Amino acid sequence: MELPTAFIRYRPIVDDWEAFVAALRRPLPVCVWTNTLRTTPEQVKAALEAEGLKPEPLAWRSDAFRLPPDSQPGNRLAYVLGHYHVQEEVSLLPVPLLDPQPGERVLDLCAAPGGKTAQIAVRMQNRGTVVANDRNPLRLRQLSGTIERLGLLNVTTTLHDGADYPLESGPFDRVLVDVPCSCEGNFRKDQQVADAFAGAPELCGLQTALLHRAVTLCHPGGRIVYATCTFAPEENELVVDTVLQRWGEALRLLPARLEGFRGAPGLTEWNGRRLHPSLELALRVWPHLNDTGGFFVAVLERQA
Amino acid sequence: MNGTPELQQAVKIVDPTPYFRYLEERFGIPPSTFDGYVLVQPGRKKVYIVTADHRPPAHPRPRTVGLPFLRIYLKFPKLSTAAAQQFGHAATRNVIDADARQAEAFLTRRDFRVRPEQLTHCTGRGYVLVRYQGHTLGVGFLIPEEAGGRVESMLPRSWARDPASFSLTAP
Repeated sequence: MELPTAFIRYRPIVDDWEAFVAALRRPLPVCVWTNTLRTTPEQVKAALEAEGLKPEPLAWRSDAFRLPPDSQPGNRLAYVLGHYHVQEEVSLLPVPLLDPQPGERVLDLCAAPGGKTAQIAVRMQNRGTVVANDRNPLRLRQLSGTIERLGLLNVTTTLHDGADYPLESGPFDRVLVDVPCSCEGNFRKDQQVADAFAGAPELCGLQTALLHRAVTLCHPGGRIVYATCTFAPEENELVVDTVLQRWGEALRLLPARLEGFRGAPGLTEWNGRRLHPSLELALRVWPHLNDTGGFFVAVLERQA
Repeated sequence: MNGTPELQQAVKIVDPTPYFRYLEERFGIPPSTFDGYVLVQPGRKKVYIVTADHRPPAHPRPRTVGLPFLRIYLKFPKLSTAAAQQFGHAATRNVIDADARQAEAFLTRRDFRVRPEQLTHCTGRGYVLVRYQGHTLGVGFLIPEEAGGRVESMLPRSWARDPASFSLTAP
């Protein structure tokens, strides 16, 4: 397996290059999380074991389980019954950091295929309002399938360009903005990731517009979580830095840390550009740290 | 049970009385099962069920609001698979307790035969809920025959398992 040449530029910012390369060459474990609206982690574990699988609880979350890379948990009775959802471990990071509460109004701006929407709805105990938006009608239909299988009763779906999401829809207590990105962090799953695409100016422009709109739609005092599955600083820290500059005192970063999950701090400098010092509060996930895909999360709070 | 002002602005609220009466008559599901929820109709063919404190936006116009509940404008309204799985535990009649082979047929979207003793709580031709090990799998259509009956799987294509790789009997 060839390492994409585009990854070489990350050598100075990865703590253990050999471990990073070795992790990229291993197949990715499968991960499932419990739909606690329907069942318990103990029952999910027992159901998976009865199927001959060996579920291991995640180090940082006892209601989610890791399975060997070749497992097919999507073709089981408990899956059809909506007892669990299959989703990569790093995709479980943004929602606990968003920390949605029952009864709140929460927007998932780029929601399809809906795994994170579902996590939000479950955390809200199937009460209140989750608005799940996507601009792609086919992917939105996939999201509806997720809502139906998991039995979610608090989700509205909308089809709209997220960067131009109507302001009268707000305000929201919390907004998740899980932007389209170059997906470098998916390399272990899909070796065709378009590395030439990483940090492309049009993509970064869209990401910046989406985050800016997310902040605009959020209540003062509310929380915004920005996430990507790429290593590219142009799509991560640089986007957040641009939006922080635009909002000034009205926006600040909160620590993006989860106990038991190993991450690296966000960059405060890249290619000679000095970034806002608080960007070290963001979370960078290198695949070798927890044997996962790559990811980036920043947690922001709107002050006014 | 009218929903929030935001819900009323965003989507058509539906009078649930006839639908709840139908579900009580056919399946014995008490209307109180749906306390805390509102029925709405965002499109043409389907009624949805949503939590009563829901506050969706009016713009952009919602595509779906909550969970699909019933498909209407049929001879008899059909309970959605999602609603059957969510609320089917409350049903007391027109429920088939399937064995593993029958459940496997249902989930792979094939018809299956039922024995007379499985029809004790069935009132005749029409929709039935198919249960396996206490879990409601979805909706079937029962056609009673001399030696029991036949159940057509109404599981939507998107929920169906592939018979080549799915099995309840051999892990």
